[in-house]
This record gives sequence, structure tokens and C-alpha cells, in this order.
Amino acid sequence: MADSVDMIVLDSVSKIYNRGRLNEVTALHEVSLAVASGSMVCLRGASGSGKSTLLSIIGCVIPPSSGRAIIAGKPLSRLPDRFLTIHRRSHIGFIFQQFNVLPELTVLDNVTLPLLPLGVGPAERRRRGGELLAGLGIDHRASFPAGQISGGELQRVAIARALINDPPIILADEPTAHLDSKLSREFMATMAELKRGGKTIVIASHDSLVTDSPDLDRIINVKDGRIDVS
Amino acid sequence: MNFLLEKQLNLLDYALASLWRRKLKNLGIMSVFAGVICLVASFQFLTASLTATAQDLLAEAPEIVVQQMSAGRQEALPLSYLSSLEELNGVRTVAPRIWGYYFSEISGANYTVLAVDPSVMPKGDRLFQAVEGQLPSGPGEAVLGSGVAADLKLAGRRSFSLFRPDLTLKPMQMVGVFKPDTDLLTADLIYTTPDAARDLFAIPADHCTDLCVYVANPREIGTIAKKISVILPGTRVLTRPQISQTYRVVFGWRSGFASICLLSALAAFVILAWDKASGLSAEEKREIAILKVLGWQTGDILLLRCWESLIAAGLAWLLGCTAAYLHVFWLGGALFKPVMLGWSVIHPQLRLLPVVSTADLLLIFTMSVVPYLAATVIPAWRAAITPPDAAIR
Repeated sequence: MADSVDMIVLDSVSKIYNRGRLNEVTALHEVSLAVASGSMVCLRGASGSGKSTLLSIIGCVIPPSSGRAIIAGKPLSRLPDRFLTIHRRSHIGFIFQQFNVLPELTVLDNVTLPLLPLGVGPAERRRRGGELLAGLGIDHRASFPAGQISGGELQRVAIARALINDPPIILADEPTAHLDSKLSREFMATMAELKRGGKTIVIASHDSLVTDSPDLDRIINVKDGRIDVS
Repeated sequence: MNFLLEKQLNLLDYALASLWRRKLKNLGIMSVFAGVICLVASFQFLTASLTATAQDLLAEAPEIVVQQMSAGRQEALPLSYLSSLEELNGVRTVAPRIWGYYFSEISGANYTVLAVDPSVMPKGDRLFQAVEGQLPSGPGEAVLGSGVAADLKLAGRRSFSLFRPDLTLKPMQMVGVFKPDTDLLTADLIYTTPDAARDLFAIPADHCTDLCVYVANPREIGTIAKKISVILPGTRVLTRPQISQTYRVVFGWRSGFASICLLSALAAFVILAWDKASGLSAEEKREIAILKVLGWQTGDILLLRCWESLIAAGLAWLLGCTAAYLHVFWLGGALFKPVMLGWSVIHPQLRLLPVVSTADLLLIFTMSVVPYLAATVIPAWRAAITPPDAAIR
């Protein structure tokens, strides 16, 4: 089923937590999907449907229990954690539901966090982070502690951080859950712009402001750990 | 700049910022840790300094001391032995000495009474140079150690009395005191003339308690000591290296005993650190998970935690060792001196020689910083190898 231009390919991927124990949970059942390069798709489903697990596998955060996952051309299923991390930091940008910024760090320091273990010096970090913040219109907040800025600004900090390594894939987990409708529209507009720039975007959400967006190429329904084709 | 160096600088920078973010918690841990290190280092410095002070003071002591033994106990020996020792090749001079102990029933203190004729001692003996005042020459004249002078409560008087074995009083006259820097050896000392000491202890006029043998070539000490054992059977022959070793053993034993107690405190601290670090707060776990998702390797997180712990523990080590130095060499090791010098009534008030070796500092570093590193890094490693997906949702 894999296409040569598919950025994300999952083939019969399952994920079982606590395997062999009393509290064993099957979060994903043989999920297969493909996402073309440069497209924007939405994983839609209720809480607990398996969207976040699917996103974690696509994002190389956790390996699948079985099946084949090929992300940006690399089969990941048997890769050890070290190589998953290397692949993740060069190919995936994350935007989390809770933003997951470190509130005591400045906005700029939060944005450039992924660059520290890459040995990027402070001047270069400031330059790259500054450019991204300026592009998102929050460069005036660069030296503010992240804990002191608004929700909308936090969202843009999270976007800037996801883009700092210029990854080809952007994953967003319930990105509008804590935003009002205006900010949610702004977020989707930013995603649409990134898509036009060639990024592949996967958004896990059940927010109608996201699922109704005309910029989406496709909506994938997830229910009880399966792709719902009904 | 080199990639690896730049990466280390980035992690170091982040570690410093991270320590600063949790400054109250880190300052608390560092203070307790520095305190424990200060206690351990104080003992180490005190032992080294006392041993060095004793060695320094013993440097000009007689190379060999001969004592008469009977039934395993020391007793007076006849001065007739003198001539047979003086005839030995390599012997520079032999000085008869009277060395005994006087128990003061009033204060419960033990004084050391020493008598030797300065005219037969080699020139330059530091015991005589350490006297402020005169050397004893007349009947009953004595030089007192600072502890004895204080214990006798002379209060400006110079005359005092001691009891002979038959409980008659022996009148004495203080003509000088020993300088404080020799306190380790002289605090409890009464230095008097041989006649006065014989009178005090009821020793016959042609006897002494030991003979001090001074040797021309220090390399021959062992050989001459063996010869003395052969020509004077029934005597105990002590060499200066043996006496030095005794000091080392005594201080080493006391230090070891105390160090075991303090190491228990250090171990308790490390266990506490382990307990605290293994129960990483939700905030710390979340931070590790975020860093992991953002592309930090487990090794990067361990390096970060290593830097944090190294900075905190290194600073605590530096503070602890500096505080120990000030405690031992400025305040005279006030907290621990009773343990190291014994619990006698008369206490030496010596000024300690500042002796700090690199080996001591490294030993303290290894005993304190390394276990702390392990106690904090291992729990962070456990958190870092946990898949981060749950923590960041």
C-alpha cells in the first residue's frame, strides 16, 4: 500500500501496553494508513480512541508492538530507542495539547531546547529561534518567562519549537483544546501555511474547528484503536 | 567550535540554569552535604596535621631510648649501663633521663615528669629551645607545660609542691614555661633536674628511668638498636621511627573510629539523596519526558543530570573542605580535638600545622561526590528510559 511519496506509512500496526500482565491494554489493533508528503490530515476520535497512541508511534516516541511503521522513509519497528530519538529529532516536530513548555525558561530558550544536544552555539540558537518567533509574531516575547505569556502565545511558542529543526513532519495532539475559536482559527491558518511550505501535518483532534477546516486533505476516524471506515 | 565541546557547554549552561530554577531545594541539599563533608574533612585534616605536628616535634628526639624491663614492666636502670653504650661504634652521646608520671589527686590530672641534664644533650634539642624563661638547674627548679601551669592554678606564684611516694611534700619552683607551639608534647610536662626527679620518685641516685642514645648516622639506628639489645639483655630498646609509628597508629586509630561514625552520616545523606532523587517530582519527570520527545537522547539527559549533580556536589565539596580547613587550622579543630587528643584533664593547646594533601582531598571527593552522583544520576536514567508519551499527554 505504500506509495513512493508517502511520508507516513503504517501497516497492520498494533500497540499493546503492559503485555502479559493483568492490566494489559490493546490501544491499537492492526492499524494501516498512509499519509502523503505535503498533506494535512486529521485523526478524529473521542478521548481514549487511540489517537494519541497513533501519534506517538508516528512520532517515533514509542515503537509499535507489531506491524510495520515507515516514517520519512525509515522503517522504525525494530529500531532501538537511541535511533528512534535521532530520527525523531531530525524528522518530527511536536505540538502538544498542554503546550508542554517549561514555564521557568524564557520563550526563546523553550523554542531552542531541541538544539542544545545538537551542539548548536548560543548565537546560532538566538538567530534561528528569533527568526521563527518573528515569523509567528511573538518575537517581542522572546525574553519573557514562558509561564508569564498568554495561551495563544504559548501555542505559537510550541509551534516555533516544533519547527526549530525544520522537520518535514509536524504532529499536533489536540492543539486547540485550550484555545478559543479565534486562536483555533489562527492555529489552523498557520498549519495551512506550513502545509503550503511542504510540511506533512497530522493533527489529532475532535474539535470541529479543526475537523471542519477546508485546508485538511483528509480525516481519519479512529475508534476503539481501529481506523473506522464506516 | 568542536561539536562535542559546544554540546557540553550547552548542557552545562542548561544545568546551571536548572539548578538556579530550583535554587531553594538545591541550596538546602548543598548546605547539608557541605556540612557532612566538612565533618569528614575536618577529621582527615586534623589527623594529618596532628601526625605532622608530632613528627615535627619528634624530629630531634633521641634516636634510641633504652629502658630496663622486669616482669614485663619498666623499672629504673643503673647508670653503669652508660659506659657500655658509649663504647658502641656510631653512638654520638648517651644521656640518662628520668621520665615518670605524677597523678594529681586534686585535679585528677596526670603530669609527665621529665629530667635530663642539658649539658649532656646534643646541642639544638628543641625541648630546650621551647622554654620561655630559664632551664632548671637548682634544687626543685622546673619548667612547666601550659596545661600543668594552668592545672596547678599558680596565679602568679612560682612555688608549688608535689607529693613524694611517702606522702611528704617536695617543694618545687617554676623557672619557665614551654612555648604553646609544642603543646602536643609539652602540655602536661614538668621538666626538672635529675636530682629533683629522683627525689620526687624516690629513685636511687645511681639510677635513671631510661637512657637516650643519640646516633651519628640515622641509617645505623636499627643496627645500633640491635647491638644494644644484645649487650644489655632485659632492656627494651625503642627507636625514633617506632615512636613516630606509634603516634601515627594512635591518631590513625582515633581518626578511623571517628571517620566510621561520620561516614555513616555521609551514607545516610546519600541514601536520603537517593530516596529523594528516585522519587522524582512530577514536574521533573515531565521535564525529562519533554526533553526526550524534543530529541534529547537518554545519554544527553544523563549528562545533564551529571553536570547538575557534579556542580552541586562539587560546590558542596569545595565549601565543606574550605570550612574544614578554617575549622581545623583557624579554630584549632575545636569540635574534634578532644576525640583526637584523648580525654585527659590536661589538654594540649597547640597550634596545628596546616597540612592538606591532594590525596586527602581526592579521598574526600571520592567518598562524597561519587556516591552522590550515583544516587542522583541513576534515578534520572530510570526516568529517561521510560517511554515519555504518558508524561506529556
